[in-house]
Amino acid sequence: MKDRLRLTFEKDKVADPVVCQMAKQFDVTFSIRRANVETDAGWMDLELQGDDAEIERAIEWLENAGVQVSPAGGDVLAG
Amino acid sequence: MSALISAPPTAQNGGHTLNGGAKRPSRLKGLQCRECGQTSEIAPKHVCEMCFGPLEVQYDYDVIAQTISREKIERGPRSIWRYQDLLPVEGTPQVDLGAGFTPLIKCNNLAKKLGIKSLYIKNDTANPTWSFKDRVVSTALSRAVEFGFDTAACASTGNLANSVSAHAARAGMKCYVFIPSDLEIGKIIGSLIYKPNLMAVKGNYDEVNRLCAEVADRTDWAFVNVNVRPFYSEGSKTLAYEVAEQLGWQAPDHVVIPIASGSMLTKIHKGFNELMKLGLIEQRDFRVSGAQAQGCSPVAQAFEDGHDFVKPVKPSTIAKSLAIGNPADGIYALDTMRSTGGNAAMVSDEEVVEGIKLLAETEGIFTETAGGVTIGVLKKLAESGKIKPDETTVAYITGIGLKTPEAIADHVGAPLQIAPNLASFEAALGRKL
Ligand SMILES: Cc1ncc(COP(=O)(O)O)c(C=O)c1O
Ligand SMILES: [Zn+2]
Repeated sequence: MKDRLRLTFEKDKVADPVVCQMAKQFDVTFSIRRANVETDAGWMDLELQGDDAEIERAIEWLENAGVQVSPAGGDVLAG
Repeated sequence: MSALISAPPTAQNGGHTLNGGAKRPSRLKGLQCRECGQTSEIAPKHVCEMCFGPLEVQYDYDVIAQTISREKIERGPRSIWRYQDLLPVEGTPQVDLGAGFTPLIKCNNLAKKLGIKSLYIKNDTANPTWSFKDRVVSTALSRAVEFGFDTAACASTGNLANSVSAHAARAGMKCYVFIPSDLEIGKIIGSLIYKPNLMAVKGNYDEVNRLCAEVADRTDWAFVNVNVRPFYSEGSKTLAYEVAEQLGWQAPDHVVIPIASGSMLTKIHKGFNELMKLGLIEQRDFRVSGAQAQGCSPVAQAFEDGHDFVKPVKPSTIAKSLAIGNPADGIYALDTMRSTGGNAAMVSDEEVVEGIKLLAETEGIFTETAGGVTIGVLKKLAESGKIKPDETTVAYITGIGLKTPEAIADHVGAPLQIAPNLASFEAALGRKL
């Protein structure tokens, strides 16, 4: 399955290494579609591919590493 | 001109042909990615395959300019469909409950209280299901029927759920609606009455989001704010068209708009700009300001922090209709407020309640929590001089108070209890009749 995610980073987290480490530790592949890293924060939109359980674990790992993970297109839930 | 809403024609009327079958040049050029500019055919999809950016409907304004005029609009139905030339629906709108053409009310009492001269409320509680969502839903589902969908769906904290349920009933579409299980009873009944398949999801908003994204992925339903979102969101432009027409064909100086996903704010801005581009109103600058509740203010916070991206938050506010933590159009709303010289502000839940009461007590309009946010922010901006006293200002009140009475139940006092006799009434009155 594929998952399109928005990763949001605080200033103390550098974007690329975290994503690379994730790809090494889990059986998932990723492609970065858009990103913007400012001096004090940043974000990255990526597509993760792999099986459901492995993607779940990768997301959990990212969150534990202090990265905020949310759906890339914004919330589906509306007012 | 009449307010009569006729039944939609039974035969599908694609409306693509005109006079002897000659094909009319299309007003609709296609879809375009807001980020990378990639274009594609009109289709039920909402994200760019290349970069995941949101897709937006592209119009051919030269074609539109040939047919549109103030007079033609004024002769049209008293609903959003008088502006159909600027909406992404090609044939006779198939899903119509009469959304739109709501009152624009000059509010001198409130203006005086806030120290500004010229204030209007766009009272969008006066819609078929009592919120502005009827505009976007009528647009989305009319287009969905043209695409051939027979099922409507959405995930909502209430207003959208009500509107999709009602419009699907009217259109004879199947309907699936997902809500968080902790919604206000008024918003639950306000959906159930139209007999949708209503799923109350036991989980936090993140979990509701995740589930609904998966469902949207695996079904061929018209998910109004997912696969048909580019068409859905265009419906909000009518909030600008109507205000311009009601002001005698001109834009105001300043508009104050509540933000959830940020779609309505960006589309109201787009709507005024389109009228200028088409020469229907005079070219002028106007400012766009946005309103959020402190418990869910990712866009207002980014504005304050000077960021050009929006950091998602976990919502916690009584303004559930604005409790969208990861707003799809947040950055575009930010852009709009900054580029027009507008502002963003947030208010506490107490200020939301005060805002609801202030509008009711000064102008006789009973709004829901989202309207309390808007009035709270309007007050804040006026008091801090960010709305200039001589700016003609329009505040958008987008939903009705009767759906969320629990928000203010403890803040409106209680009726005086009297016995059924004059003496008891005179005692309460404090004088003899
Ligand atoms: C009453 C009300 N006002 C405003 C909004 C904001 O809409 P948007 O998502 O377009 O920002 C919503 C819903 O999302 C709403 O229900
Ligand atoms: Zn793109």
